[in-house]
Amino acid sequence: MNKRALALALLLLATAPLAWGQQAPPLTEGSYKKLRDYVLPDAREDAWRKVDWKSTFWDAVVEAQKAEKPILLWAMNGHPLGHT
Amino acid sequence: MRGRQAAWAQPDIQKLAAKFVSATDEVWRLHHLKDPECELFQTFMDKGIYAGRDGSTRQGIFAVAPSGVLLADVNTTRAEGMRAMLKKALKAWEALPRAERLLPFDPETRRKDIKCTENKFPSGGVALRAFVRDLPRRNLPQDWRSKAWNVDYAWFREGELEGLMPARVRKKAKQAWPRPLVQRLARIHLLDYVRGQTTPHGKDHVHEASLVTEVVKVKKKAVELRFSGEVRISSGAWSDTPDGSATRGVKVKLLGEAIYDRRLKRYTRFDLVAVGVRWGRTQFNFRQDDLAPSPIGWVFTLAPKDERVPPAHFGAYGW
Repeated sequence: MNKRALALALLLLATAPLAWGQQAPPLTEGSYKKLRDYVLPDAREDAWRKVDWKSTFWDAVVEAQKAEKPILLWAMNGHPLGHT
Repeated sequence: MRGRQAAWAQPDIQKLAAKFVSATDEVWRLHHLKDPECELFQTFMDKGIYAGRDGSTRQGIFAVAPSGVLLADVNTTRAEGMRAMLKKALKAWEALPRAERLLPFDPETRRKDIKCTENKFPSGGVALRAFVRDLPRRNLPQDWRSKAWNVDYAWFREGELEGLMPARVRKKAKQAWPRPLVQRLARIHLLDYVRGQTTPHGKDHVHEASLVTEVVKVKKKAVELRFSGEVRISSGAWSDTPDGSATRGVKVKLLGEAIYDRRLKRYTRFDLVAVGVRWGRTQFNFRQDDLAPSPIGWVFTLAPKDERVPPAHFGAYGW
């Protein structure tokens, strides 16, 4: 089920339709999987992780030295793999 | 950030990236501190797009030989720019004499000298990834904020997650999570960072934080567990009708499931979902026009093996 369909399903789960701006859908055994799948990134949102990112520059330096390959470093304020 | 991620999702860019050893890292430390990793970064950071420029950041995408020779660099969210840089870098690598490509020493021997938080990951510990996203509602803004999501990491010392299981592992046995662990999860990880960075809660912001493990099934090779709980946090006195104008907080219910492999002595599955409402704002989390309570969800799940990105607020762990 794609994100749009999941979103519609979750809106229907809200217990008080008139308060859709404020209430969360109930978290139950029945809604657990839908809510989990909605929050997790889908394949399109996660596609960038198909690049085999090492999580530190030095990990890449060590591997590149052994393999005699160039290094590609993506450096950001806030770790790109984490909280930005 | 999302623009760069979109560019890295392009198949031809991924194919080019596969010709490198790829890494991501936090740039402030590399730019400002002193250890072998930072010093290597500092040898090339000003040789390309930042040459002759002052400025507080060195954010970007750098292609470099292990020796520190800069091959190419760019700071862009556009796929065309990245594509061009990668192709230029590969040509520069081919043209670089072999004698100039590598460090004159084995970098593994210097790993112990690197002072990064990744190296503080506890031996035998477990890392979870923590995703957060706004849940559907009718009045989400019609721009990037409606699609925003974010990710953080939560670290656990050896034994902390194993200790969630009841001492006597039998079906329907229950055990409350240790209070310090729930408090840490609540204060440092059940935060509203959907749209941007935020700050952890103080200890006195936690009004309710409880989680319970129940044994669902006991097999010879594995134990199946279920988690349930509730968290209420507010930066002010608790109110059942917060409007966010003076406080920030969350009120969530949690459910989760896990499988503990008794032979491997580790979790092969660990999922914890938190759903509820958030309100209020902090300086950089882009909620200035979105103070009122609105639905939000988190999912905590096992991080890929060897992925040791520190939690955004590791300093608040007190380790």
